[in-house]
This record gives sequence, structure tokens and C-alpha cells, in this order.
Amino acid sequence: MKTIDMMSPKAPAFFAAVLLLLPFFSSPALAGMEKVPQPRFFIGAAAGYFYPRQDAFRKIYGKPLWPVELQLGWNPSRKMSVFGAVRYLETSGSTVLLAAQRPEEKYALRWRQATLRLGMNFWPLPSRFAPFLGAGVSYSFYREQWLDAPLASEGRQAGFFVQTGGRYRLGRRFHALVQIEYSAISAGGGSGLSRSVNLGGLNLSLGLTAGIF
Amino acid sequence: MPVRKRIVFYLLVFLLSTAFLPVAAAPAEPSALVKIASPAPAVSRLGGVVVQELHSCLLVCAPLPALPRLRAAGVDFAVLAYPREGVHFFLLRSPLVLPLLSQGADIECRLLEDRIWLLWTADPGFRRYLAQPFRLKALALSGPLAPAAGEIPPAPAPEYEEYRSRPRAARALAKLTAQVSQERLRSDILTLQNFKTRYASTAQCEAAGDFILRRFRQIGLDAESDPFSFESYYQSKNIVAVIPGEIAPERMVLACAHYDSTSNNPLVSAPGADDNASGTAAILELARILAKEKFDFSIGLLCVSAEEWGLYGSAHYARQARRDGAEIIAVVNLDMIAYPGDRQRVLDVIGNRKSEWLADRFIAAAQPLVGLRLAKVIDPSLTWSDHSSFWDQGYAALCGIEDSDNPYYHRSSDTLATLDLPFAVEAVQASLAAVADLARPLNTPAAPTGLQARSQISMSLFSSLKTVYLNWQANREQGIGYHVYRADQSHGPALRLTAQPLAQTSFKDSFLSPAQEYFYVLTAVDEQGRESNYSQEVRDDENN
Repeated sequence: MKTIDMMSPKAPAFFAAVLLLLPFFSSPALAGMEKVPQPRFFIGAAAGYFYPRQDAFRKIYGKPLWPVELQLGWNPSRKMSVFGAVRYLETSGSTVLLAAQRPEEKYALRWRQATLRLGMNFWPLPSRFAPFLGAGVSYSFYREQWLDAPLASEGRQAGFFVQTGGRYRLGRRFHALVQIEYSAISAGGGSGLSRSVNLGGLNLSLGLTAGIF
Repeated sequence: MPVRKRIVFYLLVFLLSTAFLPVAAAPAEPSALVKIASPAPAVSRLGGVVVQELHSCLLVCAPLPALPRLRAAGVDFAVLAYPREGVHFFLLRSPLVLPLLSQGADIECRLLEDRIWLLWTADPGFRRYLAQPFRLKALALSGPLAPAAGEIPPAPAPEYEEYRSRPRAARALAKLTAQVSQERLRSDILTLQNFKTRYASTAQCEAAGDFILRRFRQIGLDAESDPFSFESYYQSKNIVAVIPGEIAPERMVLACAHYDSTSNNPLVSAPGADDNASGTAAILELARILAKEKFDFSIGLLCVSAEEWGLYGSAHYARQARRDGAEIIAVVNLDMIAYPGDRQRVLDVIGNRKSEWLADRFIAAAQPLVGLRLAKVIDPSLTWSDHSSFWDQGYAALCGIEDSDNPYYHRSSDTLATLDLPFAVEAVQASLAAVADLARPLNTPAAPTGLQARSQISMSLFSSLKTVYLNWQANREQGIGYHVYRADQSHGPALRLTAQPLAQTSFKDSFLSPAQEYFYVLTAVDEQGRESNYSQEVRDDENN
């Protein structure tokens, strides 16, 4: 049985705290910046590549994973945005064997995961291309189904994420977005492959946001 | 009546009585009855017929011209008698030094070996000169149907190692033996005892036969009476019932007992509770229980008469069976099974050398199910009951008999009150198990061998399943399928996994809990749906 060591929870928590506090220490004057007015609310969509942090997850669902995300956000100031999002991931895989006697035995699996995300981004240098740091919490609904056997597992689990990236202003309302995110979702007991399943990992995504008001 | 008519009448009576003399009483050509020390050479090739095998010698009837051939072949023999018309020969077993009450009687006796005499006489009333207790066996000196020793094809002698791993068969036999009822045995013994006497040739004996016939028919069996005559003047009848076999009804396992009795006052009082109402009640109990079951082979249930006169009823039946070519696989004779005495509770299982396999098999099937001890006795000189008649015809036969000296033997005091019914119940259970076992499993397929199990666990993120792969060697028989059974604990209750017998010799058991150990056994099933015993058990990862 192989277990994947997980990152200590202290480090992400520290980064998240720093990111949440940053907006309160920032001001437009410090950033010097563009005075282009921007909408207070925006919607967005993103898609990207997900790299699961846990070896067991990669063994079972080994092919590239492409989650998609829809966002709704609010810019309370020029240097800060708050967003809510829903991210969806569906993929397929197959079982792995312990004490293999007949390697040809495989059962098809389907993985579905929907994650509600609530986060905050900080834009320290507002400009045409503005980098950001962000953090947030998540709540995931997941279901793993054996397609060839009467077996399925499902659950719900909270987690958190930290992210960084940048956006490029395409017009008064539109921005292109690139971000990299690290998430942790500890889902508890697993099979013989890992004692504790973590659904988090690294997510690299590209997106587009549009201001609406 | 005028003198001339009287002469004609007596002449007619004489001629008729001569005509009714048993054909087998004496050989057709002049011959001699000789005693040959055993082991004997193949006397049949030299013209002799083995009349009786004893412990230390053979009784051989040889035509007079054959005697020089015997001597020339180096056979050491002693001539005992020259049979002639009207003279009957018997083996006599008597514990007394002088078995005759009166030396003046027209009876000749020669001691053959310990307590066994050859007796011959022309006097039909010779029994009144014999001192009780005694047992008689009438000898057929020239039975053309009686095969000589060494010419009998060996009876099937299955490997009895097989029986050590037969949980299913053992359970089935245990279920049967649990049905033996002490109350029914008691009731039947009492009914038979209440005929006052069952001495063959009496009306009460015939009534007892009618009672047995009715009982068989009440049970629902196809039963009939088979009349026969003996010693020229007397008649009695055997009662026969058959439970037809399902697969090979022409082959038969025969359970028998004599229902006649005797005593020191046989015409008036011979209750014969132990000898042999006990054996007869056992046959009725076997009939009651076995009639509800199905067997590969037929089971014959035979109650014979005139045993006490010299095994006449069984000799009649066995001769006819041989003449008709009946395939009797085995004969289980029960005679005196309810008086264990003060000694250890032992039921002797007596066989001759050719029936030793049967004694072994009887004990292997029955001993695990009963508390009394079954003791194998191989002694061809123990000819004092009806199994001996079947030995004479070349059939495998044994006798189940108490290993004790019943002080009420052949006395008017042999009554139900002297019997140990719990012992009788166990003796009946042993016989029931052996008869059922002989009748059923001979044709069932052999249990599969070479069972191997390998298991592996398939895992997803959150759950896992165990899969077990089984394979085994194919049976040698044709048309065999296999059933797979699984248990959660070793030798625990097994669940059959296969709805239909598998044609292939492998099986995959999927979707199992990885946390649980599983144990597997197999059975083989033939085209008639008969199932073998379990194979050896394997754990799911035994061969990983």
C-alpha cells in the first residue's frame, strides 16, 4: 500500500492569511496607476490543466485532466476582487491491482467532481497587465463510480486554495486571465492505495472575464 | 380300507415324497464328500465342487472318478461320507463336546474343526436328538449353480480412503440414521414376539410372514411373498420388497434377516425377540426410512424363513438370484442385534475373504455415525446365518451380529424384556448407513482434484474489490460439470455460486470484499445431476 505524503497544512494557511491581509495595506496611490474606470462586477470562464497532488489519483486517472470553471466576481476596489466560482471536473480511469495475478483485470471508473469556490484576489500593481495573488475556500462534491461493478463512492469535502497569476486588459470590460493554483481537499479514508485521499493539486488555467456593471 | 388299497395308498405316498425330495440334496452321480485342508488347490479343475469353506479346511463334493485325480495332484484329503438319495447333510455348530442327546439316533456326525460338525441323516425328525443350543446349515452337495471358489468375479471394491473426505455424504447418511426410531423397533419386536412362536412350518410363522408383507405394503413398497419348500415335507415363505434404483435398478443392495425363530420348545413358545425379531424389525425400519429416498441402485429388503432349520429360505432366494443372474452388489444380513451383554458394546461385522471389502466399507460408512464399536471378523467358517447362503452363490455378504453370548438364545425366555434397545437402535443405524451408502454413491462422479485459488484486489481511490481465480483438473469421467462453493470460514457453511454446472475447469469470483478471507470447494456433477463429494478446500489466496 502506498501513501502519498501531503504538504503540511501550516504553509498554505500562512500564505492565505498574508493574501487576505494584503488589500488592507494597499492603496491606488502606491501603485500609480491607471485611472481607467472598471466595472464593479464581472463574470468569467476558465479552463486548464489539473495535476493531482496525490500519486494514487494520478495512477487511476492518469490522463490529462481539464477542469472548467465559471466565475462571478466583485471588485470592491481597484486592488481587490472577490469571486465565487464553480469548477467541474469529469474524467475516466481504471482500477489498479494489488497482488496482481491477472494483470488484464481492469474495471472502468468515472470521476465527477464539482467544487464551489469562494476567494479573494489582490492586485498589488494595477496596470494593463496586472499580477495578482489570491486565496479562498472550496467545497467539493465528488463521486467515483465503477462502471463494471455495482460500486460507487461519493462525498462532500471542504478545502482551500491559494493562487497567483495575472490578467491582461483587452478592453474596458474584458480581461484575459492566466493563473496557477494550489489546492488541498482532504477527503479522508481511501482504498488500499492510500490511507487518506486528497483531491487537491496544481491547476494551471486560462480564462476570460467580462465586466458587467 | 382293504389291504390292496392300503398298499397302493402307501406306495403313492412313498412315490410322492420321493418326488418332492430336494434335488440338491445329493449329487446325481456317485460321489464323495471330502475334507481338504485349506488353502486348497483349484479343486474345480479336478472335478470337485467346494460345498463349504471353513476356517481351516474346505468341504468338497467330488465324483468318485475325481478322487484319483485329486490324489495324483497331491491334494491331501479325507473322505467323510458318500452321499446317497434321501440323506441330508448339514453343518452343525454346537459348543458341546457331544452334540447328540442320543447316540442311538440314525445320525452321523464328524467333527470338522472347533465346534463345527458335519452331520448327515435320513431322519427328518433328527433335530429332537440335538442338544440345544445348536445352529444348522443345510448343505447343497451338487448345486450346479453354486460357483466354485475362485471362479466368482470380484465384487466392486471401492477405495475406502474416499470416505475420509466425504462431508456431504456423511451428512446425508447422518440425516437418514437420525430417523431410526427406538419406539418402532420396540413395537415391531413386540408384535413378532406376540406370535408366540415363529418356528418355520407353523401357522404362526406364516402369520408373521403375512404381517411383514402387510408392513412392507403399508410403507408403499412393491412387496411379495415367495413360497418355498424344505426338507421334503415343509413349506414356508420369504417376504421380499424392493426400492427400485434410479440409475441402475438392475443392481441391488440386499438387506436381509430371518423372521422365523426356534427354542427348546419351538412348536409352543419361541418368541425369538433377539433371534431374530430384532433383525426383522431392523429390516422394517430400513424399509420405512429408505423408501422415502432415491438411490442409484435398487435396495432389496428380504425377510427369510426357515433359517433355524438350516438357512433354507435364504438358500432358496440366493439360488434363484444366481439362476436369474441377479446383480446383487452386496448383502447385509442382520441376525441378533439387540443383546450386547455385559461386555463392551460391539457389533461384529462378519465376512468371508471375498467379502472383506464389504465389511471395510460397512465400517467406514457406519462407524462415524454410531457409538457402538463395529468389529470386522473375517472367517468363512461363520456360516450360521443367512449371509452364508449368499456366500455359497458367490455374492459378497456380511452378517451384523452382537458380539455376546445371549443366555436366552434359542430359549422361550428370549423376549423383549431382555433386550437393550438403544444398542439395537445403533445397530440399525449402522446398517442403514451402510446400505444407503452402498446403494447411492457408487456411480456418483469423483470429487474434483487439483483445485487452486489465486486472488487479487482491484482498487480505485475510495474502494476496492477482491477477485478470486479458481482452476482445477478435469475429471476423467465424460460429461462432467462442476459446481463451485464458497464459505466465509474454513469448512463453514458453503454457498453454491454456480446456477448451472460449469463445463470449463476455471471460475472467476468477482466483487468480493478485500477484508474477508474466502474458502472454496468444488463438486463434480454428472449428466444425471448427481453430485460428487466436496473437493479439497482452498483459501482464496492459497496459490498467490
